[in-house]
Amino acid sequence: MSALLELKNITICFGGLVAVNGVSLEVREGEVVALIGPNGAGKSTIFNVITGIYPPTSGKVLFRDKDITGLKPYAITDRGIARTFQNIRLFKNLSVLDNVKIGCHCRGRAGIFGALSRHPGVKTEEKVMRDKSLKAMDIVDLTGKKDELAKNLSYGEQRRLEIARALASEPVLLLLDEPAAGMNPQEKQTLMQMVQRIRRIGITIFLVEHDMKFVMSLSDRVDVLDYGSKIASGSPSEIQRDAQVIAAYLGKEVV
Amino acid sequence: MEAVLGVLTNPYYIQVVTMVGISLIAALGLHLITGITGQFSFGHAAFVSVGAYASALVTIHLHLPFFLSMLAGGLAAALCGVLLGFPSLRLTGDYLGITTLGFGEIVRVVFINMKITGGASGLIGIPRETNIFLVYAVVVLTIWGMYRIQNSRFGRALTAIREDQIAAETMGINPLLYKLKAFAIGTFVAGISGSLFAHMMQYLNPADFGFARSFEYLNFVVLGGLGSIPGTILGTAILSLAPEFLRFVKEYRMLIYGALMVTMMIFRPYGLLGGVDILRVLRNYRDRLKARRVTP
Repeated sequence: MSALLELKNITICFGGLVAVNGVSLEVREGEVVALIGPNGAGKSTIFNVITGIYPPTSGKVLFRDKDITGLKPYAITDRGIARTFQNIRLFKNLSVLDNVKIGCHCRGRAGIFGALSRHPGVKTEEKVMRDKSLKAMDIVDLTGKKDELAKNLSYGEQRRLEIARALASEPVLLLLDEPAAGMNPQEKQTLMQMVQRIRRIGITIFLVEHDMKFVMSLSDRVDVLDYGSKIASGSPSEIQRDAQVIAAYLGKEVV
Repeated sequence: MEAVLGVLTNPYYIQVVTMVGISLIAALGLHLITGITGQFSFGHAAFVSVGAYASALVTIHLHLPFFLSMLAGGLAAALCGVLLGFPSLRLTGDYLGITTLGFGEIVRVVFINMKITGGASGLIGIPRETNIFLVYAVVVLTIWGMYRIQNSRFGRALTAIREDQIAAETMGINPLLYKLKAFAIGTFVAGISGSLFAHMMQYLNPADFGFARSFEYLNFVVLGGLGSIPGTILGTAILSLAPEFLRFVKEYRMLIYGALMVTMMIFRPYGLLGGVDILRVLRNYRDRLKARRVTP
């Protein structure tokens, strides 16, 4: 299998602080890959570089063998990478359905004149968007809440809505930034089933997560970051035995 | 009956109601920029003035039919909107506000100092083309247009930018492009309002389009309820009619006007109809009626 997403020697500096230092990693098509590491290791920063929120100081991001380094976020979404956010970023005052419809944005075409004229093409597009949105909501079990305002959803539902919104952009690769954060064990269980469901549709998943049970039972491969550098990469069972990883999480013995 | 007819044909009342319509058109333009897209503009009156002067000059010097000079007014304002918007819409919140405020002052000073606009003594000799029917036809058209824009892919993208720009961007929306488009439409509508104003007053003076006027437009939109078309209509109607109806209290007029605004903000901090979705309210009401019919 060839790499769907490839990071080559990514370094990001904020002023004098090196947040990510020469990280290379790859995500292959159809995999579920997890990126773990202690707080402040640079996991979210890497996500922000992949999705174009900020450009890397040096290094390259390749997606389907094409260089996407430094592209704007909306261009990257258009190429098939969607994401969710660690601190939920929903359109709070809009309905659940509208939130997901906005996720379809980059797959539509109607502009100002379409809005004013509502010619048949626009109507069909709206209908297609609606159907696609409902399907995305169905995957995360939110169909029943379609007219609710996003801000009135429970915490777990809001996290799921973020996933539905990302799915609506018809991504090839889905980035989940701490999807299980703040969820209770039951919610985590449902979330795990949903991730499996998304995987079966054929979407590759790259996730950042702190919950080890969640990571170890879902992922095919795990990459570990510590202080901005990659310290390990391998299958979940390999990672669990890796001395460096254990040291990063639990600390080293002082001689 | 005669009394009612007397009121209806009283030129003063007709003038007042026409002015409300003209202000409402401009306010609806600002509604798209501030209420829907979330970009604060403190220079809206400047765009109205650009439209007013441009259309008046086109009428006076080129003798074009009013419809065309109205269009020219709208396009001139939209052009200014795009030229100002391109560099400044990268800014957000307060910074954008200050830039638009500065732009408003520049426009006013330019009109005071230009010969063709009549300078500080104003521009005279504009034919009267505007009437109440034309104004309200444009009002209806603008409301219809805004409603359609809001409920479309384009409008959803604008609301997404208002709600969370970073999230909107990761959903595939180019924020600068969409803000610029919203600005172009909003200022175009302001220009149309200016054209109607010019061809009603038959006289233009830069002093009518100062910062205070820009602020009034913002009041209409904010006090009515940001992001709500019915709110904008209500806000404009109340705040433009209040000073007229308060004339009987003479010198206390502006005092009461101020108190009215403070009271509105205390009791409805999100504006009169802020956060109220009329369609949703109606739907809930209908559902409740249905439920009541089913229970017995």
